[in-house]
Amino acid sequence: MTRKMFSRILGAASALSLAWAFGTGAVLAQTTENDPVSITNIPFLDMPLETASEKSPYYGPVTGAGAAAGQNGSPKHLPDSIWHLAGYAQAGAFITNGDKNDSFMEGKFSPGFHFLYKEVIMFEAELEIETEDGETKVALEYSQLDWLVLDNTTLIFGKFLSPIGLFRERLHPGWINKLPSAPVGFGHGGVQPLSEIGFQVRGVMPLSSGEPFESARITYALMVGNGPRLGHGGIELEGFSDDDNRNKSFGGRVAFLPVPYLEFGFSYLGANVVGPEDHDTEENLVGNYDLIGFDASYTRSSFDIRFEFLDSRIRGLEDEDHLIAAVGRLVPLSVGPEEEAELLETNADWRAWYAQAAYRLDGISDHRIIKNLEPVIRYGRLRQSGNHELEEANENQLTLGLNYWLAPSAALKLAVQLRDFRDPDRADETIFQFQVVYGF
Amino acid sequence: MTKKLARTFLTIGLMSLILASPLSAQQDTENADPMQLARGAKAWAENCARCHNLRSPSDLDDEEWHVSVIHMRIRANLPKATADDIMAFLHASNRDQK
Repeated sequence: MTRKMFSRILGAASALSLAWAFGTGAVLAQTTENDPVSITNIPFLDMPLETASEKSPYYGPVTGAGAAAGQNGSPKHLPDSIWHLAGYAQAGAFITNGDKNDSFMEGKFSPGFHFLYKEVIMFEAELEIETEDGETKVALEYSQLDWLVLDNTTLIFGKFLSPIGLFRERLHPGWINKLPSAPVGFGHGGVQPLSEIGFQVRGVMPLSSGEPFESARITYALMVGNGPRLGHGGIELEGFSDDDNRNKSFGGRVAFLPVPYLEFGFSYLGANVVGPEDHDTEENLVGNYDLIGFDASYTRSSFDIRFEFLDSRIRGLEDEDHLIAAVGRLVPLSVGPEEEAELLETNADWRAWYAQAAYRLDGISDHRIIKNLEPVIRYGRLRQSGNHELEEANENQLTLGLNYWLAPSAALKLAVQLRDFRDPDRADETIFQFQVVYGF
Repeated sequence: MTKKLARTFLTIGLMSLILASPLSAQQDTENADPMQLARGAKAWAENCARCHNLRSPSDLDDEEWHVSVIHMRIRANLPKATADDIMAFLHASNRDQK
């Protein structure tokens, strides 16, 4: 019922766009002539706007009507082709009292390359270079070609971060993530899809309707990709370069922002996944995978408050022509007769959510040290069902952290994480985390 | 059936977005006003802080900001008009980074 409701919400959101497109007068101008904008508490702006405007000969003085618009955001002094190296690096230590990984250091370097031709084509790619088991591991995080086909619409081809949910696409870099680790179920091997190879269309529909909602908008990111696969560890949600069936994954995220600092997002992903051969029919079993998600964010002033929920499942099918889940049908998670014990008994479900709140103390103090502190609290849950291996990982996770911001994109992060495993045979863990991060 | 219905709506919605986007672009250009830097400063503070801390405009030069803002226009689904305002503000505020 809930799943149907989310599907309908996603469909309704798209229907809204239809109404928006053909409605009369529904779209109001983004800008208002001579709108007096009061600017307070803008850090780094240590000069009057009039002075700043004198420095920018391509946008013209702030009082020159039309001078700014004349360039339409494309300063003539810039070359047609520009590139920029961005990214982040992080290093730290995780020390646990559990029986796995007594302690280890982590180091990760993620350079990102952005190549822009005018405001038409952008190629962007990010590598993930890290040490693992004494070896250097290099992975391609994403590699995509963006075509800014219209002012508010972009087409994307290639390998891109999954737009399903919020954490992976927006919040996972070390200098953005408020805590040293990802929420339970939102990292590698979790419920949230990591990346996808395929095609994506994304953009924004401004819904301006005057104060205080002059920036109200609906954003969307819709994708078609090769989709997930069943693997030894369950469902694998990293972008695969080829498709193991003729069924493409389909989904995306639609979000509503009544004001820029408040966002509500809905996600959906659906695909068929191929299992190993059925012993009786010698045909591959096919599972029907689908995921729904909801997220909400409030990011105003010194507050950063987020909630994210994902719920996914696989249901076995009799064959590809019958879209009705067959109760009791086996959907293997792993291949090989020796691993038949790991077969799912019926179907599999994954559910994860977290709620997180952070508060930068510059909201209450001007002290040169205190104002750079940021306490963080996050609580999350992971629930999986289908076989013992999945259920063994179920946990409730509480993380308390304290960040010290050396610069807007550099921080020292300290945290303690309490992992309460639901399996009575698995000991709980406490992990002390220390991390240095730098975004560039 | 529900999935088919959702896909149909999404397809129709997608087409309508592509058809309708030029409308907003034309309106944005025609309605640009002289307060672009002020709007840019406000939009920069409101939109960039949705995910991360605000970096100093002087961190990057004009070319770097140009690429970064286009990158974020795509990643954060910013309207072009808003991204242009932010870019104008950053280009004007990074002082010696020409």
